[in-house]
Amino acid sequence: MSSDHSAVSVHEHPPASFGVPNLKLAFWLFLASDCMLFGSLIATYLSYRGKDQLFGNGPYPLDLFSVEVTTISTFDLLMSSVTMVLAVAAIQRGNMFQTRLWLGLTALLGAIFVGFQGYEFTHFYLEGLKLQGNLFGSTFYVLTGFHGTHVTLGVVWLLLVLATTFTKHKSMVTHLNVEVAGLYWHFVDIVWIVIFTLVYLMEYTV
Amino acid sequence: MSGHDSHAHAGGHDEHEHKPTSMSTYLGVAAVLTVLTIIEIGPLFEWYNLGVAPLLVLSVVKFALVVFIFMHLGPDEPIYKKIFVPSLLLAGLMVTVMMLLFGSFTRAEQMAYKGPVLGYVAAPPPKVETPEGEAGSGAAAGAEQVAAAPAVDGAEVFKTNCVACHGPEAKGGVGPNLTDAEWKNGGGTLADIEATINNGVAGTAMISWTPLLGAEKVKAVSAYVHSLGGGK
Repeated sequence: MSSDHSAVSVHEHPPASFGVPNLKLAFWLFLASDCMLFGSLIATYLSYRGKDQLFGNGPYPLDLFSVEVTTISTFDLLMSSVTMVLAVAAIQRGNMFQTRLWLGLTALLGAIFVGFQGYEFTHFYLEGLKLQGNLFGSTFYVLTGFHGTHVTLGVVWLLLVLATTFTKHKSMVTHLNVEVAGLYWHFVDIVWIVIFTLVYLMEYTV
Repeated sequence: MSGHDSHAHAGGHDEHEHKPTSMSTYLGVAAVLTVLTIIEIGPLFEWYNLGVAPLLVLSVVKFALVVFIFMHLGPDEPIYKKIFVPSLLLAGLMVTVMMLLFGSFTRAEQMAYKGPVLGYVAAPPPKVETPEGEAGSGAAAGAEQVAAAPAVDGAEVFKTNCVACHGPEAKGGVGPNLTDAEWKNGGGTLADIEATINNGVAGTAMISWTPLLGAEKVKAVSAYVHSLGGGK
């Protein structure tokens, strides 16, 4: 069995020994590690959840959250995942016009989400939630801040891909490259699905 | 086109990719995601009293739809699942364990645990002020109380409650230095210091200490801080 195995790896071309594109394989590995990053940030947030109340050290989540605003931004990010798959489907069909359209829309929706977060952070800060003020402030800002940074980088990435389609390097914008950008984008979206439930909605349950 | 093929050949992937997900599937998923989000926040304030479980189920469904259909993890090569799913499960396990260990689902006021939590000390019963009339009747008793007051050692109270932020020598750390003449929040007289300790400073880690320490210890530690040299 083991000799069989080594024969295969000698035979196959090393750059694609799993029979899949290395770029995509490596990117899934990155996403797996990013899972652990967000897992630890979420676990930290939840570990300290509700502990400020023991110290009487506000402000508390329900003093600040606006479920309406956050639902709109959540929906915005979810829909950006839809436009992203449409971009990937478009480049697969070779339709450059639609690829640009959907990429641009995805970046726009992402930018709107970042805008919502900027509004939220400003509002919370002015209401007295400081990074070092209490446990909620520290864990909330670090968790959602890391997520917002991911979204911002995603917007930059999408805009770079979009801009490349207008240059003489447009042949670099392959289905694979757009798909990998899409993987990142969807990952950022699923992290927010979890944050929305565990950080925001859970506060309203009994 | 052949140039494109050799360029993207690293995968040879585009050619023998599984049947591409159809447009109607994508739009169907989009519709489901929309409906689930509406369910999550809409009428749900009715059934929020079922606890967090229904919300978790909804969020897992949304998560799975995006990962398996939008990210193609379902139809794609198994190697991606082998990479991603174990990490995801590990991260999920870590979150679950922490939530259960730290009672993240429990609101503070519902916590049955009455002992010290992260340094929290149950508030002593409010001190009953001695009625005025009694004070007149027993001057000796009053004197005795004054003599008994120093039984609370301000330095000891400081060491237990304050050093975490203000440092073992009160020279500052997270909180300000208390030995210099500079007073960031409020003044430096004995009464000012006592007021700051009593009321806390909004927006900082300096909480109101009266519920935790009781008036007597607050007085003692105020005197101690005042004696450190920065006081006026």
